[in-house]
Amino acid sequence: MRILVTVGTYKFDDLIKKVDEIALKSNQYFTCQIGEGSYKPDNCSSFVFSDRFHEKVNEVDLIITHAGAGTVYSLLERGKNLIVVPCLNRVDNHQLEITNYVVSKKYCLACKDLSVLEETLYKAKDFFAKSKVQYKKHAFFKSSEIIQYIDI
Amino acid sequence: MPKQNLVIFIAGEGGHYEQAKRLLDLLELKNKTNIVFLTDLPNECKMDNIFHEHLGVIRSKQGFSPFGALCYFRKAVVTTLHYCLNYNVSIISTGPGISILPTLISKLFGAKIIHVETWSRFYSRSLTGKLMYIFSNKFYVQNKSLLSLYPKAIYSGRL
Repeated sequence: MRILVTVGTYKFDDLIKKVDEIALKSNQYFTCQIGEGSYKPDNCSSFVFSDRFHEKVNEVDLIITHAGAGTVYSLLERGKNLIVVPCLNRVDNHQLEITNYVVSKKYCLACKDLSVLEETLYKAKDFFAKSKVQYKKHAFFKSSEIIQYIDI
Repeated sequence: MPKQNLVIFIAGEGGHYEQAKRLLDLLELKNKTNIVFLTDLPNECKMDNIFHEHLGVIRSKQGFSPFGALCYFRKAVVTTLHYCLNYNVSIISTGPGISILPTLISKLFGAKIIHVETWSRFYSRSLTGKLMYIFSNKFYVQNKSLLSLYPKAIYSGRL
């Protein structure tokens, strides 16, 4: 299985370190996007940011992502299989809210405790084969109201 | 000569900017010369063909920066005053906290204020949301669960 790990513009070294540990003993192929983090994994390939990020997303079977809402929604809209990992060191816990939401809807798996990330990876194949629900959103419908209001 | 209309989008980096971009696309405005973005985004991430003002970074991902806050304060005041004195301003904000000061100044000049609460909130109010709720003329929420926390908000669907 090909797995992409992404932390967006965040620094989330704990996640990258954990993936590096798993990659050492795994036969799965990991690639890490490390963002502003300083830890570079030894046991898998990595990059900081890439103009080819969208292509890389298409090339993988599973994505382990931080719980930034922009990243999570964009990947779900593209139908990707995700394990969402909230970065709980952030200044507030808003990553936890979106994590709880996407898990409650069965759009993807989550891992709130990095010590069980490997176990969550084992569960992923079964979950995405059987239980995953396709992400659907009630799309924004107030554009006309806004245009009328700002009179532009 | 009457003042021209100007729409100021205020959006911080990451998901906030992504929401503002999506909203701008949905508005399908043909003339983008009367739009300005106030942001804390790095240059390489900004949309082409839209004028951006960089307000500085108050709070990095590692925490609060006093120097950044001072630079932000000066730039936000000067920039907002410039636009409010020369244009009929409307504000569209997607947060986070960088929205608050330009909104307050614009409000004093009679600007219309629209805030779209962040799509990552479901069960609690953001600090920015709490303040923008007071000053906005139209306050939109993207998740229905927030209507109980913001009774006067308008549900908009998700960007």
